[in-house]
Amino acid sequence: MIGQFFLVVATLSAALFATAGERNSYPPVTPDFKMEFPRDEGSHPEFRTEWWYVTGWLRGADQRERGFQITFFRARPDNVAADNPSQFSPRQILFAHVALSDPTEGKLLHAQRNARAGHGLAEAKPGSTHVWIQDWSLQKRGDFYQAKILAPQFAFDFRFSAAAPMLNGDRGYSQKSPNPLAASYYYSVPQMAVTGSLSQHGDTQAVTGTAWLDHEWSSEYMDPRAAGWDWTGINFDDGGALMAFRMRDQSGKTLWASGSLRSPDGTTKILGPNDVAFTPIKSWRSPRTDANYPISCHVRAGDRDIEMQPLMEDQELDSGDAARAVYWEGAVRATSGGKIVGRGYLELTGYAKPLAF
Amino acid sequence: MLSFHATIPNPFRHGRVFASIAAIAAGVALGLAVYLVNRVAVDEFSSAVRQLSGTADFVIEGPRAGFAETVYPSIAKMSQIATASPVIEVRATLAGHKDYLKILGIDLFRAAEIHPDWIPRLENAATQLFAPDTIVLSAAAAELLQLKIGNRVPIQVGLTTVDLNVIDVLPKRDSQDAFALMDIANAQQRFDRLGAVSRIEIRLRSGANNEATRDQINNLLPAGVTLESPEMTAENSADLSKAYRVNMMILALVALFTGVFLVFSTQALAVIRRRPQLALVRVLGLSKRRLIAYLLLEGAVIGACGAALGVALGYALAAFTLRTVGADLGAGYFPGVTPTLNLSVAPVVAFLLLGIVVALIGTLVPALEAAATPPAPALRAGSQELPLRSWARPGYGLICLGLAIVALYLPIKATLPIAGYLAIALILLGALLLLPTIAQHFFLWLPDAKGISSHLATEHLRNAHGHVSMSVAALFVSFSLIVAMGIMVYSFRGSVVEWLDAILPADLYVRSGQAGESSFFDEAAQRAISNVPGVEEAGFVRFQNIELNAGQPAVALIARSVDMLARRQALPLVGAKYQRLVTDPPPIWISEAVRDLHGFQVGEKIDVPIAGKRAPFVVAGVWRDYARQFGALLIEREDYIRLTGDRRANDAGLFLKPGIRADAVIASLKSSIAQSAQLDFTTSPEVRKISLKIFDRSFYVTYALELMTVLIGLFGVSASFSGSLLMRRKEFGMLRHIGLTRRQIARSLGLEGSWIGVLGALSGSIAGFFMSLILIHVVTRQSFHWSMDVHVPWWWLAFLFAGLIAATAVTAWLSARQAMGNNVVLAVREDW
Repeated sequence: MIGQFFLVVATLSAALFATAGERNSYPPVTPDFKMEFPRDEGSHPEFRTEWWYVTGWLRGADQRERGFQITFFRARPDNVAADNPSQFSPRQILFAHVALSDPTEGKLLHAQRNARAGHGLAEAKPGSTHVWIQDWSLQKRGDFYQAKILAPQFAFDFRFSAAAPMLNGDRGYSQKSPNPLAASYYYSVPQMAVTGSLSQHGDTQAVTGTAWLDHEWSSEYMDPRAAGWDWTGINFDDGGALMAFRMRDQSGKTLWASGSLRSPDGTTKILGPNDVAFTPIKSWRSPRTDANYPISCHVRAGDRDIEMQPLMEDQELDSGDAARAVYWEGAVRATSGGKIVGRGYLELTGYAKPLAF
Repeated sequence: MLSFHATIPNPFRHGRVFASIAAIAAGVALGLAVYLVNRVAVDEFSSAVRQLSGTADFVIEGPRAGFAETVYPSIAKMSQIATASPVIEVRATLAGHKDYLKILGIDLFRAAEIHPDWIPRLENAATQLFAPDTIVLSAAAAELLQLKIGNRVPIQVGLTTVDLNVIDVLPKRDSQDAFALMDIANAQQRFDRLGAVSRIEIRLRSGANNEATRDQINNLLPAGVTLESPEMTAENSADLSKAYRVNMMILALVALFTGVFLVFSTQALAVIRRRPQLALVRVLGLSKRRLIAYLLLEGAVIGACGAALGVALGYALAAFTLRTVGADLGAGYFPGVTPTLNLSVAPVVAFLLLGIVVALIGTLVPALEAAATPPAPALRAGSQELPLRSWARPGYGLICLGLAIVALYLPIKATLPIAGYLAIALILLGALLLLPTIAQHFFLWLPDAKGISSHLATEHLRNAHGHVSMSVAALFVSFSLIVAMGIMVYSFRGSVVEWLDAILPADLYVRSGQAGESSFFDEAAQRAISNVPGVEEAGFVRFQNIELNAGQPAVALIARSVDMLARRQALPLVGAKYQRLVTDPPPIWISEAVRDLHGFQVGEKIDVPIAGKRAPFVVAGVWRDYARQFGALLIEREDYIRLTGDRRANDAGLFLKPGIRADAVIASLKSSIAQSAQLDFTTSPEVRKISLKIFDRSFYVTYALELMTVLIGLFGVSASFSGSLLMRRKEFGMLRHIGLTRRQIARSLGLEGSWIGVLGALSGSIAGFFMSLILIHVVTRQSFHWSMDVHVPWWWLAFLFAGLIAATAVTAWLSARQAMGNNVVLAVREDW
């Protein structure tokens, strides 16, 4: 979810966010907004940032389990001349990031792309989900989403059955800190059935699995007290789902927490700061960055208590560029009483270095 | 062996050996310096080109005006393309500055994949660059313009000035070009290039670099847009100056060639001087072969000393030249390149060897001569005065001259004037083989003189063929080369002057900016200029360039009223004119370079890629253009506007009403045009003056090399003359004994010198004249595609002629005075 937001922030740097003045104004995020579908599945180009984030577990024809992540971000820079008629005008910037977690690889395989929107080469369409950067794309087609990714080390061609959205926070208004201004519009689509094919090392195999979609957009700044966050999205085997996150301050204490817990019957319970707790069980220290990640943790979310067990230890992501967005984002199993009850993703940010805006 | 060496006098005892060393040193130094400077220039330039294209496999290159940006998505969508990076390149006019700033409008996301070295700093500046009028400078540009982060750069767009903000400077790298990065959208808007890109840099997916991919890309490209590899571009840029560089190199080697001659004459004299001693060691048992080996070793040592000295001097000279004149030797081929000189082994070794080989060649003939001399007569006193055997081979000489003519008519289609240089070398060789015979006849033909001094001089000239021929030959070689170069440069300059007169018919020229292409006159400004009181007629010019062929440099496209030019006889046409038919497409006038490089003929119908389409034209004539070596096309501005819709103009030529002064018009132009601060006014005499200054500057090095050749030539004369005088000490002693005064002997020698000078200068002038014709009609034509009319610098030649004769006479006279010290009388007794 928001680790990617960090990436965008870091890459777009201070100019995008910290410069005030008579630049482009962004619509505010307010609690009285009413989400509508399919309209809100599409892009909201007037907002500062937006992302579509798909994670999930795959089981291949080879019977092995793998995790995957596909993210498309959209950002609207605030320093672009509004009157520039150039087709190259960077009114919207798109980023895409994809990763494959395969225990036999021992570490994440990942790739990224970035482009300014335009010329039909990269676009985020309003109205319905349709976002692409050249031949990487995520599109809603009727009752399913289709994702096509061709990375140097792997390729995805997936379909996700579009399940009912789960509105997070207050009917989609998701607060990120005690300050109600730091908020986003946020919904998730859990329990999407995956079909399609995975290519790796030149071999293509059919895969099935379960995936999770997050769609979030906002214009607001992060709370400056936040040093990082832990986030998880789990599809339970019983048909239920859990989204939970907490924002941490510099000392590692919880600054804010929230979550959504959907029961198998489809009813969703919104969890407040006191309903969600992350407790580390086991840490893993990255040999590359020396960051210490609580890759296994206990999560209390309302009346559910689960433990997170990573698919593999090293799911650290180092973007490797000058911005050096470093975080852990990986496939995890949810267990309860030693029994696997679900699968999903865990994101741990701000452990390599505190976030600085 | 050692004992023999002790017997043979050490050649280094005599000063003239040092003349040989100096000559070789000078030749090697010049050659090495020219080589080093050239190599540095080309290396720097092509590495700058390579850096500019980053890791691109190919570059899609369009004309200066750019091409439709819709090509970009169609290329980027191809499955074989890994990255396509669109670039708009603008040479932005720096307000009030003589330089332009190359601005690269880029999509940083794409450019970073081709130019990884742009990323580190830019990651921070990436989004700041989205802001209008922000730029990132290369370190070289920051240095050149003395700018740092936070500074503003005033850029001229049209006639208005815009400030660009420097938000970052790229890290310093070796041999980086001076440029500024701007966001492509901002560059398009700011420089009014909406919808256009100048180039697309592409990287292919691995395995996609094949003929089929290139064909597929080529099919997507509009007319006049070509697919090129960075190597081709680098090669192109090196080719730009190749002919120039080769010509400079040959000029330097000419100095070395005169050096051979000097070594030859001193070594020959050294061998003659030591005839008794050499004969002695032969009698004592030294074999012929060992004697030759010894003398060659001596030559090699001289060569090595000279070459070592030359290498040191050459490096110093190259370093000095690079610091003062620049890498292009003042010729302006490599703008913006600030090269550094590196020590490298290969050229040092090559030029050391060259120096030694030159010395060995110079020594070979005298060594063979020494070995062939029978020892018995040579042992006798006075054997030094046995005349040097003549090398006259008139038959071979004539054959060489014949071959020279054949070489000129060889159907060689090369960009380098190999045949021309071959012909010149053959003329030199042929003349040298003929010279002794000519000298003999010339001196026999001299009238019998009255006075005793003249009589002595004439008699000596008639009888001492070997020595005399050698002196004449030394003069001949250097003088012919000087004359050839002199006539060529003078003809060139004369033709340039005539050309300037022809192409500068207007009284006053107004340029929209001093340099770059972002300044222009819009229609309002053009109307304002035309309506200024005192202006009879204004001719507006638009400059663009177009790509005629992939792999060849872009050709200039000039749009102006040719009709007006023709009316004012301001079009320097050469050759046939074409009478256009009503049914013909519009006319185009091509420069000589276009005719030579692209093979177009007068009357031929050609397609020219303008504004992305192939427009038909008929070649109406060929015009002389010394300004653009890679060719220029001239079309009517009306046709240009019809094809492109571009009504802008870069320059204006104003014809003033009779009696109107230029400064009055300038004053009213300044008051009637709103943004006149950046206008650049020049009158045609000023343009002429500036052009000729540039011309002269590009020939500085040529002049310097010529001077070197003259000095080496005179040095040779002096060396061979004083050498021969030393040998004739006994003769002078005898003359003194029979009552001649020193003055009489000195006069006789002076006369001798003058006659040698006359013959050397005469023969040199004749050969030099023919060589200059080859330089003009073959070498320059092939190298630069410039034709020129022959202009002979009579005064300069006469001056040089007289100067040379005087110099030889003085040299001879001075040598004589020196040779006739007190012991001359005693020298007679050296007999035993």
